[in-house]
Amino acid sequence: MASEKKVVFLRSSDGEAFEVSEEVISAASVTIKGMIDEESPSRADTAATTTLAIPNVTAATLSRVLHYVNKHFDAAAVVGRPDDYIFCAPGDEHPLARFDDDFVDVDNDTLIDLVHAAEYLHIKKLFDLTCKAVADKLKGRTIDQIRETFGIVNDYTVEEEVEVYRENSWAF
Amino acid sequence: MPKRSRESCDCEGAAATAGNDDRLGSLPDDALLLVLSLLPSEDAVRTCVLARRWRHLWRFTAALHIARDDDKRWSVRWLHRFVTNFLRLRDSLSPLDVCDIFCRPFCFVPRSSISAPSLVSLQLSDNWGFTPVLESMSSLAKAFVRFDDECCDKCPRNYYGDCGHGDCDGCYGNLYYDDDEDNQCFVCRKDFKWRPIFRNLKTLLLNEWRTLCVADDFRLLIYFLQHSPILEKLTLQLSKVPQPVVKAIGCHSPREGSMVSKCLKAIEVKYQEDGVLDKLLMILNTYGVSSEVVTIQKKDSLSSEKYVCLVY
Repeated sequence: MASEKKVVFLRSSDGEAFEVSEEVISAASVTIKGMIDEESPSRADTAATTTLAIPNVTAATLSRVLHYVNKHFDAAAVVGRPDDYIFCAPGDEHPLARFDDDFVDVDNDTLIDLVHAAEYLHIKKLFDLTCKAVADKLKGRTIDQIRETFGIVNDYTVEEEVEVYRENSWAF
Repeated sequence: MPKRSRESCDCEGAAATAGNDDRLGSLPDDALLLVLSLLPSEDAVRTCVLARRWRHLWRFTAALHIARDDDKRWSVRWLHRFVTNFLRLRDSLSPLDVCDIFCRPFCFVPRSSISAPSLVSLQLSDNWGFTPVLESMSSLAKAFVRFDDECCDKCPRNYYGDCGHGDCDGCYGNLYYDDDEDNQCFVCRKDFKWRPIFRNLKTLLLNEWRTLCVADDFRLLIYFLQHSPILEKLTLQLSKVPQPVVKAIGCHSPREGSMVSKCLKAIEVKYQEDGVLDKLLMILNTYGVSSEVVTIQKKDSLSSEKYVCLVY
């Protein structure tokens, strides 16, 4: 029994279930590892598979996240260090650098969803990757361009705005 | 006026009442702070005007990034004003993990001092002007210091940088320039005059054969050997055949105060051409270094960079 690959099902907020290797998702997500550990005493002797509810993540986002997780885990296995998920950090020299670049080459809403999911599931490398992608979208843009790109409404009163500019005038 | 507590950066309530579809502002503080810490600090600070949610966020970011490559806006005055305000107005309880200032050309004139008692890692490379004075850094665990050829620390009159001529820029902070002087060596001599002991130094890499090892009859190398009580690993990269050796002033007795680290496990010598290798080995032997810990490699090419790397 121990040699069989265990799987878990993750149910998205909109009700879709995704199958994923327990080993893979435990290595990647601190949150899900915690859920599995909590469940494990009750299912030690049963063959039933576990289904975990992921209430904060939609099917579209969850499927992307699992794609990322599986890809990185496989790459780590190729390198011969399957347990060391951290080893698969995105970086220039890394074989997955290209994959990571393409992975975050998405529209703003999708990207923000991924940040939320990475934060909730506690997948640090994905969190770092997606936050960096957000930063890249902000870099070199004017305040007006940022507001327009991300739909940010300026909710300052005129007086407040003047005050904010005044206290930070050294940066403008 | 600015609120300085951690709670104050959590302005999600303000965003919610605005009733807009601000997806970016919906991200938790941790995410936005990471995003801001990856931006150039000017951009990060300027986000304060986006909306209320953003007003104080930048104050909690853990990084100061400034990159200026021959840009029209960059001047020492600008840099000073920006960094001073950034440090003054940010939340004083939030740690600043990264301080990354890349300005080209960057010139330390007059001499600056760096005071950062909590600093863990320092990289100082290719600066013009005077080598900055590093004040006490008891937390420093890793340092990388590389002198540029444009470094102004040198004096033709006095070996230890205390020539008595008040107008001497090499010794007392004004500007003196002479291409022929070996300035790297001068900086070390000036510093070693104060007899520092590298109590926590475990790994030392010395590059640049001529100025740091051979010059002064191996005096600097010997100094490191004698004043690093727990040194474990020493690497010497001998990238070129030495120039005529700088004449030593005074003489040292090899037996005096021999206290080579008992922890010394490895000395790696990498060199390109024979020459002073015998002398080096003799010096190491004289100072009680067992030949068992010395490994010697002849290399076809070595990095030609000049640097001293100290890992504490």
